[in-house]
Amino acid sequence: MKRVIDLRNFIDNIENQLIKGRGKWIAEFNESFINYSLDNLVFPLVVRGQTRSKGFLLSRLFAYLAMPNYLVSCFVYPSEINSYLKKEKLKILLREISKMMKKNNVKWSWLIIPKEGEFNQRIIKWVEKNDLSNIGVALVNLNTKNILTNNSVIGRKIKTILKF
Amino acid sequence: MKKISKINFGDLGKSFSVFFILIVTLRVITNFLFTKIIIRDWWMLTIEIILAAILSYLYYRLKYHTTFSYDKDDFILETGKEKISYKWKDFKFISLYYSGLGKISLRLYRSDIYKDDYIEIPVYDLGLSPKEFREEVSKLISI
Repeated sequence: MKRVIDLRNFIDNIENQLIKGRGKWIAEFNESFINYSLDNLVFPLVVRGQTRSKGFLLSRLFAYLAMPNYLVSCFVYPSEINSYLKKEKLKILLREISKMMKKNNVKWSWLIIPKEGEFNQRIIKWVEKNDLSNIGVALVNLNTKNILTNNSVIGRKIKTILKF
Repeated sequence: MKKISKINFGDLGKSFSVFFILIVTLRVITNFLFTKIIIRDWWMLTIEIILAAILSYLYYRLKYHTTFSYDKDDFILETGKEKISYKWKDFKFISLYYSGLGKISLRLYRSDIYKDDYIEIPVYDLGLSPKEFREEVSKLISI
C-alpha cells in the first residue's frame, strides 16, 4: 500500500532528519526555527547549521583543518494545494533568501517547496533552468514523491537530504 | 506560576566523580605523609563515598541545578545560584538548538537570529518534550 505523506508530517520529518544528521555530507544542521518570518514571508520551518562539523577528537581536528566554516540554512515554504505557485512568488522567495544570506554571511541555502499535488509546468521549467550557484531549489510533490531540483551542485544535493 | 525542576543525573554524576577522586587522592596523600602506609578499609571507602555524595550534591545545587518557572507573561530561569527573569514579549524568535549528545535547548532571540542576543532554556535538563514546549512558548510569545 502506498504511504501517503501529508504536509505536516513532511515538515516534521525534514526537521528530524536534518537534526539527526541526514545532511552531514553537506553540513551539520543544529538549530531549527518554526514560523520564521523574513520580511513579509513566513517559513513554517528553517533549519540552519555550518559545514564544519563538531565531531569528536580526530573528526573535529579533520573538520577544523580540512573543512571551510560556511554558514548554511534550509528553508521550507509549502505551496497550497489548490493554487499554483507563481514564478513571481518564487522570485520573491529567492530574493529575500539572497538578501538574508548576504546580510548574515550565509554561504549556501536550500529552499524546499513541498506540495500535495502537481506543480505548474512553467514553474518546473523555470526551476530546471535556474542555475543559482549558492541556493538550491527543490519542488517536492508529496503525492508522487517526486523531487525536482534546480541545475546546480547545491540544488542537486537536496536529493541526498530528502528521503521519504 | 508553573514550576519545573528535575535533577540532572549527568551533571550530578560529574560532580560526584570529581569530588570522589579528590577526596580519595587527598586521603591517600595525607595517609602516606603521616603514617607511611596507605590504609585500605571498607569503612573508609564508605565514608568517602558518603562525603563525596554530600559535597557533590551541594555543589550541583549551587552550580548546575536548573529550575524554570513561568506563567503567561514572564519566566524565571534559575541555574545554580544564578537567577534571570524576563517577559515573553521581549522575544521575537524561538528555536530548538541541538548541542550534541542528545542535549536540546530552546533559544529565545530578541531581534536577530544571527546575533548572540539570546536566552537558552535547557529543555533536556528540565525533562520537557522539546517540540511540545516549543509550541507552548510560541503561543506565549505571540500573545
